Amino acid sequence: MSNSPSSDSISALNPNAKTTQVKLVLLGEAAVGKSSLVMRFVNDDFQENKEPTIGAAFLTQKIALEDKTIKFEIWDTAGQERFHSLAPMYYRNAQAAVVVYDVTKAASLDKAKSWVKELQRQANPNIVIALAGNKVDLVQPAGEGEDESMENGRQVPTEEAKAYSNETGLLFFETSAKKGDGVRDIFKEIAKKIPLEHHISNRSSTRPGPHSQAREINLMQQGSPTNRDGGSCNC
Amino acid sequence: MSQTLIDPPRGVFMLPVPSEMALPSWDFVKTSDYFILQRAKVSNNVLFRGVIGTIQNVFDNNKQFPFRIVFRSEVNGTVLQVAASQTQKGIEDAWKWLEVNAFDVVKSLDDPIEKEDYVKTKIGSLVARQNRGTDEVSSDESVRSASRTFRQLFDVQPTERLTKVFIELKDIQEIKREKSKRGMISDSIRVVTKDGQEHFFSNLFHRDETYDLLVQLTSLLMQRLLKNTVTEPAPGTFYENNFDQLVEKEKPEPINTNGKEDTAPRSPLIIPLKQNLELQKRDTEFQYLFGLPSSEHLLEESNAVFSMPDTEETQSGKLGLSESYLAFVSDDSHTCRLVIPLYTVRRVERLNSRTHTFALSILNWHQMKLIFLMDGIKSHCEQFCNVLKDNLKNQLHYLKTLKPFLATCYSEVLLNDSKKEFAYGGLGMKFKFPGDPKKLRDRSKTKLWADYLKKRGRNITIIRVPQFNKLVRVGLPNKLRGEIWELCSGAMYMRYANNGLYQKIQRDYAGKTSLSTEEIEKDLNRSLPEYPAYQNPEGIDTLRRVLTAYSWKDPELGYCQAMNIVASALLIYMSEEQTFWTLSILCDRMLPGYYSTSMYGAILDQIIFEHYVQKTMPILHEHLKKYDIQLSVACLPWFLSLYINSMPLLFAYRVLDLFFMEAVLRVNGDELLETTDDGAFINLLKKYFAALDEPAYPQTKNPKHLEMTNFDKVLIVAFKDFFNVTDESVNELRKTQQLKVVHNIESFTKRSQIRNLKDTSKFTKEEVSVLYDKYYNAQFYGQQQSVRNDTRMDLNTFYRFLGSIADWAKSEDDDLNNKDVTSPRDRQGRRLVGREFINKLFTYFDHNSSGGITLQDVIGGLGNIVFGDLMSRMELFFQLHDYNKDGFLTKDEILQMSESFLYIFRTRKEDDSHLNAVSNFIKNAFQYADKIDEPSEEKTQSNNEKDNDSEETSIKNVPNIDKINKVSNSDEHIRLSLPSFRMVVLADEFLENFFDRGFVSTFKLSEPPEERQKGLGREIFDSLMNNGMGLAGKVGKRLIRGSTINPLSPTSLGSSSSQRRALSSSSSSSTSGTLSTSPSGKLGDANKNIKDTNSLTATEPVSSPASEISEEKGWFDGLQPNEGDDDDEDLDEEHSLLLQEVDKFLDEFSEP
Repeated sequence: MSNSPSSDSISALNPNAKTTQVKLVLLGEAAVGKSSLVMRFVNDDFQENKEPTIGAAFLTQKIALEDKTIKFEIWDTAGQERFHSLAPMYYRNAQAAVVVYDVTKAASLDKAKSWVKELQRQANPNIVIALAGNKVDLVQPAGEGEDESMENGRQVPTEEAKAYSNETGLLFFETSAKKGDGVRDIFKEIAKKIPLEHHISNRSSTRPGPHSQAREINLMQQGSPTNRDGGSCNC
Repeated sequence: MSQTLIDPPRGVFMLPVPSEMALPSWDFVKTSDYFILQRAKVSNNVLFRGVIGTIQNVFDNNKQFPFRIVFRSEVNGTVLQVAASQTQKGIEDAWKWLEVNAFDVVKSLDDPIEKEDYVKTKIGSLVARQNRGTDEVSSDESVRSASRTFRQLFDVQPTERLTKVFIELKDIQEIKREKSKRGMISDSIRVVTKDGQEHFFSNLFHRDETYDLLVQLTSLLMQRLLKNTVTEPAPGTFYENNFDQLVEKEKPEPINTNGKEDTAPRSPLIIPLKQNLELQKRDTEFQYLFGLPSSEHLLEESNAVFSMPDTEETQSGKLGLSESYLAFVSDDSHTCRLVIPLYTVRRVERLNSRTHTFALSILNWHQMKLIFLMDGIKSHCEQFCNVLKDNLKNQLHYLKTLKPFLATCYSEVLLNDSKKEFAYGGLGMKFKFPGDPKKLRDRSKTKLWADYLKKRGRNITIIRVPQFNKLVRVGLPNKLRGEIWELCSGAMYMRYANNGLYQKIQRDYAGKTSLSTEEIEKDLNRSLPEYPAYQNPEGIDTLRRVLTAYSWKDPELGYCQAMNIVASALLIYMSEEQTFWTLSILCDRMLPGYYSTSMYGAILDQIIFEHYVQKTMPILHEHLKKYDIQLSVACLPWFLSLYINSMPLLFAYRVLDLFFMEAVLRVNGDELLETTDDGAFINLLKKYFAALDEPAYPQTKNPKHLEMTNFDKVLIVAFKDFFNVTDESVNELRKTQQLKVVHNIESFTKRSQIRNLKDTSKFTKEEVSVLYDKYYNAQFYGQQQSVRNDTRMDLNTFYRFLGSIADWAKSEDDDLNNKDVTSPRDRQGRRLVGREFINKLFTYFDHNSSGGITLQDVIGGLGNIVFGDLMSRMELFFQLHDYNKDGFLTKDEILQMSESFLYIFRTRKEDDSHLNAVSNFIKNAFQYADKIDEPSEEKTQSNNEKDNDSEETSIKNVPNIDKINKVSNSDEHIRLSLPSFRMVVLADEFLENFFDRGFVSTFKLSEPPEERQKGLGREIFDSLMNNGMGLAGKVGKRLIRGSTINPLSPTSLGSSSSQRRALSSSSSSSTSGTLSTSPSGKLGDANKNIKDTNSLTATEPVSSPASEISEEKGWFDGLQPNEGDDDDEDLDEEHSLLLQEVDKFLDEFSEP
């Protein structure tokens, strides 16, 4: 399959545009708050009983950095296990992924880990992955002098998730879609971490042939330690 | 008496099948009083012979053999075929056996019926004994007999007389009727297997029948395959630890909504498989047409003219009778359709009619008089009436539930007393229906319906005429909506037939939890949250009850997100129980597989949808393809939630979904052409949907109140432009594409399973992949019953698995299902060695002693063997045979070890060195063992062993255990330690080699199955486009049918020297073949008469219509290709490939 992300074709049409499109996919167990995170990011809004996502939802939002604007094309996927087999359709060609878990549910981190594993093996080899522990608003802060793990309602200690993220090469955030904490940071950090894409897609827009190769090489140099499978994207 | 001990020849006898005497194609060879041995007439003309063979094959499944024995029944002059064989010897053995065992008895019986019964039982039991467990599919006798016939044809005698192609049905991806443009081969069937190979079967005498049969079989198979890919327990099965005491007492049986067993054979005589399938198909069509429960069978059918005294109209059509329903459909299938549940019948009268042979007048519960004038032979009509009478009697007990049932139908209230409170409606009754009733003109609609119901009957007795559809299209009145939905979907009949089941499920499962109930809890608050009822506990509880009840009813499916939305939408208009049954119908029948754990149904419909887009809107399709936009990305959610807004048209929503969808795309066609990627695409459609009406669900539910809204526009476009998208064509496509989807799912599961392996034991990716395939292949053919909660492999399946990767582990006879697993032994007490050895391996693989092994276990275990070294493998063998784990091999254990060696080596053909090696091994082992007693008879021992060995070669499978034991009785107390064992092994070059390399090389892990990821149907078209276009001009000179795109080495038999057959090239050889199918999962193409074909090469022009051309993977060894053919072999190869591509390409476009 073609490895060139859809955003390239856009840039190819308007090489002078400053905006870079980035395809981003949200993954994670059911009811951890994927859609709510997106809703917060896109509309700065929160809805208490949001209907479960069926298949996937699509939204866009721009984010401005100093030197450029990034337009996120966000694919918000369904969390239930049986939708799993559809996921490759959505993370195909994605340049970024946010894997979400629920800090009040230990099992949701396991699922998140398996998503990370899948992405690293199956998705675009240069994909930027962020891990987001959502629903921190449900955690009662620990009393004075108490250990953080004593927090009420928390099942996944921050340190544990953080350690995992470092070891696997992920960005890591704890968020609350309800209150808005940390949501924007995720997308901002992801945007920062995709600098080359913009550059390359502009430079090589006239020559689609060598383009994909050049991109391949450049990004390889940037080097992601977890990139074991090389370029074998087989969606 | 010695003669009585004759063993009946294996695989010759068959379950007695009624047969035709009249066919002139049999010669009599021997006759006795009751039995006749016959031989098929052989013609010298090979072509003619081919034709005869084919005719026989096509017309009668059981005459594929040149020899047979029939029993002449005196009862009605028919004959029963009791044995058939390929060889004269086989049939003569059978004859002898009959002579000894049956002739006298038959003669001694007086009553002809008794005679027949005796023969049937006798042969039947013999066959059953011989066939125990060979057919894993079912206990259905007809299936077994067909499968046996099949095996005899393809398996038992793989001599040079047969060239064959096996295609495992489960590997088939696509079946398609081909209409060749070239005219030479008029019709054929194309079969594409999952590794990308194509096979053409042409000149089938009954192509369409064969096709139907294939499709049906593959459908059956698909279900099994899906089950096989399930890697987790069914989500809906409850967590057992929650209520331990309960489990013991009442294991909730699978809920059988049908009330009776479907599988019971309908006739005591064996129905040939084909016929059986036809019956099934007929029943299914009948059930679908009228929306009846799947327990109904079409018992009688007759042409009839329907009229009602009150109206002038008469309709001619078909009247069908099943166990509890009488159903009529007009000839054009839409002007009139009605179902009369027999429990609503008050009176049936027979009328006199001048014009028709028979006339029935039926008075139903609502005092409507229906008159049917029946055509046809008198006896047939009488039979119809008799069956009707019986069934009416059987339905009497349902009559008492009729009154309370009708009380739940709003139509009764509407017509009798519209002031009365109606207590059974949906949540809408209390929480208001969405939308403004005034704008919806609810009152006038209600009035229209009231008129209709008065005239045409109501709820279960309604008669559907086109007016009905019109009224539905205009939009249903709120209060009546639920009832009409229920009626149109057929859920009403289900609810009636399963009165009280919903409540029972609630009671039985009260307080229990499962994975599904957990998932449901997560979503309860998120189902149509805008609707007031779902903001308070009452509505939530209702929803919970319905969803959990469904998850208990169908634990394999459990709960899928999107069901909550559908259910909550239904609940606004329907009562809980109504919703429950409508949901069942939705999941089981209307949207099969949509919500299953693999969602194959939804994926399937994506493909179909794309197919339609491609067909009806080629420009758009091209455009989408150009920018690599995945349509499915956009429309999957719509499919799954039935985009609720198309719901008023529930009566046909399967079709309408498609209508509707395409219309949306067409209306927006121009704009869509400008979009360039998925995202923009979605946004545009979103806007459009929003413009349909307000986006909130309850509002869009009935958006027709705006005069000429976009919604109306879409509907109009839908009905006008896509009238050709019918239910039938959708179903047809579903059937042919479903396997593709299943294979996709399979390969997806495979990838994720492999990914999740903790440890791949240094196997390469490819090797793991092969192992995986073999593992699941074995599982597939292993016996799997109903709900599988155990995905591990059991011992029997392990035999199969090992047999598929290592030659020595292949079992010679198919007596695979030996009940006594612990001490395997066949009837003669043979063949236990191999079994024991494999049992040991099994225990070794199963390192946590769970009684079953997982893929991980297999990979770990095999990894240890393959990637271990000489020493570790010796240790493995040592431990496998050290039963008591004392670190020493006793004498018996040493002997068993040697037997294991012999077992493994038995497939060696090269020389006898292994025999020497084993005998040396025994000799040395005894010599170097620590002796506790006096070392007396070693020499005799080893000499004896040598004798044994030579016997071993001549009579395979007879390990002379007794002999060995006898000799070795004297010295019980020797023991061999591991170091000494190693020494003994290393002392022998042969054994050393064996442990060093030989053993490992017996495991074949590099077989071809090259797994190609199929991107849900699109790639196929892509490749066609790319290749087909440029090549179209080049070809057409010759008719060459290619067989493979991807030549892989044939897996079954036959040489691979040439992989295609040139038809009109100079070789012009013709062979006959039959396409036969077996329920055990294989599709075979047998080419018989090859020898004769040989002599015929280059003599006959192929234009003869009788010539039978069939594609084969392997080209028969002995057949010399014509020289001309040889010369431009490469050219031809290329040509055939080109042609094939072009053919495919053309067919793609010439679809009607």
